[in-house]
Amino acid sequence: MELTAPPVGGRRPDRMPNRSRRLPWRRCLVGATLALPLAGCSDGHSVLSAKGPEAARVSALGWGMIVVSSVISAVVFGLLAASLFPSVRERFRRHDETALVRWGGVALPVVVLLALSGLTVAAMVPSDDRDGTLELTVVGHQYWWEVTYPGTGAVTANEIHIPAGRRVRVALESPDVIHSFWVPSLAGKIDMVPGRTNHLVLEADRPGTYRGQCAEYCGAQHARMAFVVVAQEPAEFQRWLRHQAEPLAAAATDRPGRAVFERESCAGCHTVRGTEADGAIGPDLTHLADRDTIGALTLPNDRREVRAWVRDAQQFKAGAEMPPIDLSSEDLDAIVDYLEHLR
Amino acid sequence: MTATVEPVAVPDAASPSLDAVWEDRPGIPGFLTTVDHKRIAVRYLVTATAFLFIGGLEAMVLRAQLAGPNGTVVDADTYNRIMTMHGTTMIFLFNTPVFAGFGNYLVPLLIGAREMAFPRVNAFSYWVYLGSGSLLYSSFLLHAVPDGGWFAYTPLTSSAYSPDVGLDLWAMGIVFLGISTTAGGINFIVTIFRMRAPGMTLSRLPLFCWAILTMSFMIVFALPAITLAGVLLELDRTFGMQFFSPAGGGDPLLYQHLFWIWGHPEVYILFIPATGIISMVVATFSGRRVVAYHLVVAALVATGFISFGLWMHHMFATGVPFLVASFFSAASLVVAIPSGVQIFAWLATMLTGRVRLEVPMLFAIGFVVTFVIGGMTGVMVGVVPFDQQVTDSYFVVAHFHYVLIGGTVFPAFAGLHYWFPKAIGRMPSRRLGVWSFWFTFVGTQLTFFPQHILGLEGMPRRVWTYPEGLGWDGPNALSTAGSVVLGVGLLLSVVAFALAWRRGEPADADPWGGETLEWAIPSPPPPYNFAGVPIVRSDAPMWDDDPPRAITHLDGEDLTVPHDGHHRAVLTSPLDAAGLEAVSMPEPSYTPLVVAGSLTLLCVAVIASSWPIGLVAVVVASAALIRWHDGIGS
Repeated sequence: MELTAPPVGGRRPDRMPNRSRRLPWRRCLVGATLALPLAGCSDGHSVLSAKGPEAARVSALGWGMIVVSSVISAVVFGLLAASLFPSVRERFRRHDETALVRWGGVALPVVVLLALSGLTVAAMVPSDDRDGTLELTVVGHQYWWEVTYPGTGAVTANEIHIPAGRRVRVALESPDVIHSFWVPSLAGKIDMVPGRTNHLVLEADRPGTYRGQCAEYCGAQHARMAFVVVAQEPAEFQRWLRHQAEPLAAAATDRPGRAVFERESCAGCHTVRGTEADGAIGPDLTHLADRDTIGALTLPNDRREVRAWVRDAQQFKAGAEMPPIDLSSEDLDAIVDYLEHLR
Repeated sequence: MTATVEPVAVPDAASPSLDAVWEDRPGIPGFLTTVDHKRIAVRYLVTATAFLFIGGLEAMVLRAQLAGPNGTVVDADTYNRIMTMHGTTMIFLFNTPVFAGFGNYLVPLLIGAREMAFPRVNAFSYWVYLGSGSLLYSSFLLHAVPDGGWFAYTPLTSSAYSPDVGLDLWAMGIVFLGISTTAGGINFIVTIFRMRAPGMTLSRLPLFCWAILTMSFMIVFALPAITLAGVLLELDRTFGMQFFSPAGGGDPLLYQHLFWIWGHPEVYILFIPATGIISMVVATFSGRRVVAYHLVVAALVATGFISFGLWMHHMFATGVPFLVASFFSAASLVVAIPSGVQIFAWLATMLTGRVRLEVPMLFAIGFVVTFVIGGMTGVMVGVVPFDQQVTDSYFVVAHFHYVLIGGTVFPAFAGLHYWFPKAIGRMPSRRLGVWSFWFTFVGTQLTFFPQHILGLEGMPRRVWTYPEGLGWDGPNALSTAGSVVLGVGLLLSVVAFALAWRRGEPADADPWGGETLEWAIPSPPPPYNFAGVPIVRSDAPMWDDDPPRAITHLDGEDLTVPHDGHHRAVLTSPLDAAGLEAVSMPEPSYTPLVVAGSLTLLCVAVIASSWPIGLVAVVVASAALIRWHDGIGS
C-alpha cells in the first residue's frame, strides 16, 4: 500500500507515491481535449477517473456534458467568428432574422436541457441497498477525521479502511462547524452539518488508496484536513478491523514513554485503549503506528516528524487544537518511542 | 395639456439660464450636496473600480500563495482573511455598485429625463455605499479582518468559532449596504415608470433600461433575505440567540437558505444589467437594432422570475431530499434558456448587421466567449450528482469567475469604453483599449481555465496551501501567471481613461453613431441633460429618419428657461408614457450625507455596543430626516 503524505517545509516523506506507472488515457485526454499543456495526469483523486460505481455514474455524465458543451460552444464561437465576415453576413441577411434566436436560443436549449434533466434524475436515483452493506461513521473535527466502525469498537483517524468491491454506507457528522467529506475518485461530496447525520455511499472497485479532503471551508487549517480511503481485499480488511478493534495488550505499552504520556497533557486529549489514557478531544492513538501519516495527512508518520509534531504541532498546522508541549529531550524521545510502538 | 414642439437640435437648445439653476455650487459644498445623477454615477463607477482593484490586489496575494505547492507568501490565517475580503469586495463593493453606477448615469439619459425620480435618495444611496465599504475595510485598521468566507456560513462564523469583531463588521456592513442597494432599486423602478420621455412606451424602452428595471425588482424582493440572514447572525453573535445553533434548537442550514435566497438572484442582479450594456453595445457596433427585441425582454423578465427558484442548487451537498433536489436541478437547467435567447439574439444581430470592431465591441465579444463557457459549466453544476462532485472545488471557482468576469467585468469595461466619451467628452485611446482587451481576455482564460482541471483533479476551494505530487502544481502556476496578465489588462483600461480624462481627443455628441437618446445631447451632457422633452417614436430614436424632436413649452411653461429657480422635470404615465406634467425636483442638500453618515455611526455604535454614540447617531439622523424635504419646490 502506498500513501500520499504531503511534505511540509521541504521535508519529504519516506514513501512517495509511485504515480507514473501508467498514463490513464482518459485523464490525459482532458488535457488534449481542453487544449492545455497540463502535466496533470496523476492518479487516485480525480473526478473523471472513477474508481468505483458511485463515481463512475458521475464521470460518465461529466464526460458526456463536456463533449456536448464543447460542441455547442464551438457552434456559438463559429457564428461569432462568421459575423466578422461580410460575405457570411450577406447570406444570413436573406433569412428570417429571428429564426436563429428561435432555433438556437429556444429550441436547442430546450431539447438539450430536457434530455439532460432526464439523465440527471436517472443518475440521482439511489442505488439499491444490497445485502451486507457495511456501515461506518466519520465525524469531522477541526481539522481531522474520526472514523468509527459501529459494533466493533474500532476507532481510527484520517484513514478509512473499506473492503474493495463492497458497498459502504458512511454516516457523516460534525460536532463543531460544517465540513464536507469528499473522495473524488469514489463519490461526490456530502456535507457534515452539526445537528444532522448525512449519509454517503462509498465503493471501490479494486484495492487501492484514494485521497480525500475536506471541501467545506472550516477554518484556519481547512487546507490541512485530508484523509485517505484504503480499500483492501475483504479478508485483509477483516483482519485489519479485528486488529483495530482490540485494545492494546499490556506488553505492547510497556515502554518508558507511557508514563510520560500519561503524566503530561497527552492523555487529557488522546485515548490509547488498554491504558489509562482516555481523552476524547484528539484522535484515538491506539494503533497509531499502523497509520502512514499524522495530522490528517500533514506529515508522514515517522520518528523525526512525530517528534517535531509533538513538540510543536502549531508550526505545521497553526490553529489546530494540539498545543506545543514543553518536554525535555529525553521525555520527547520516550514519547515518540512509545507512539511508534502503538500497534 | 398644451405643448410646443421643436427639434431636440442639440447644442443649440442648450440653455445658459438653465445651467445657472441646475449647476452645482463650486468646490467642496457642491461636491457634498450634489444630487446630479451623473456626478453620483461617476462616483459610483470610480469607487467601484477602486474596489475592483483592491479586490484584485487581494486576488494577486491569493494567487501568489498558490503559485506552487507549500507556498510561503502568507500564512493560513492571513490567507483566509484575504480570501474572505476578496469575495466580499468583488460581490458587494464592486459588482453590485458598478451597475448602480451605470444605471444612474444612463437610465435618465436613455429615457430622456432630467433626473432620477428621487435625487436625494440617490445621493443617500451612494453615501451609504461608501459608508458600508469603509466599515468593511476598517477591519484592516482594527486588525480584525473577517475570515468566514464571503458567505459566512455558521457555525464557523458564530461567536464560538469567530470571536473577533471582524465578523460583526462583515454582517453589519452587508446589512447596511442593503439599504443602499434597495433604495437604489426603488429609485430605478420609479424613474423608469414615471420619467420616460413621451412616446417611449414600455415596448420602446431601451434594453438597458429593461435590464435595470428587472434588476431593480429583483433587488427589492431578494435583499430582505440577506438582511435577515445578517441580522439573525448578528443577534446570535451579540445576544447569544440560537437561530443557527443546533444546541439551542436552531439550524445552520437556515442561514444557508436565507443567504442563497438572496444569493442566487444576486448572481442575476449582477448579470442582467451587464446584458443590458451588451445589448446597447452590440446594436451600435452592428449598426442595427437588436434582433428579437420582444424575446430579449421576455428573456430578461423570465430570468428574473426563475432566478428566485434556484437557490438550493448551492446546497446540493448538504443532504437534500431527492424530490427537492430534482426540482431545483430542473429549475437550474431551465434558467439557461433565457440566457440562450439573449446570446443568440446578439449573434443574430451581429450576423445580420455590419460589425465594427471598436474597443467596446471587443469587450462585448470577449463577454460572449467567456460567458458561454461559464454558462456551459453552469448547466453542469445544475446536474445534482455532478454538482456533488465539483461544488466547493476549484471547478466551481472557475465556473463563477467565468460567469462573473465574463458576465460582468467584460460588460462593465465595454460600457466604460462606450460611454466614457459621453460622460467626459473625450475619447479614450483606441490603441490602449485594444491592448487592454487582449490582455484581459487572454489573462481571464489563462487564469481560470486551468482551475476547471484543478477542481476535477480534486482540489477544494479555499485552501491556503496544497502539497506537491497531486498534479495541481502545473495548473496552479498557469493560473497565477494568468492573473498577472489579467491585472495588467484591466490596468491598461484605467490608464487609457486617466490619460483621456485630461488630454483625450474631444468627443462630439455622437462619436459611435448610437441609437439611443443619450447621443442626442452634448458630450459631456449639461447638468439638466435635455433642455426640451424629447419625443420618442421608435425603440431607436437616433436612427429615425428625421432627428428626434423635443417639447419646449408645456402648459404655458417654457421648459428651456428656469421656472421660479427650481429644478423642473416632466412626469409621464407608467405604461404608455403619456399625460405630461411638469414638477419641481429636489435640489442639492446636505441631508443625504448627514443621514448616511449618522447611520454609519449607528452601525459603529452597534458593533462597539456603545449606546451613547448610538443615541447621538439616531438623534442626528432623525433631525436630518425631518428636514429631508427642505428646499423642494411645490
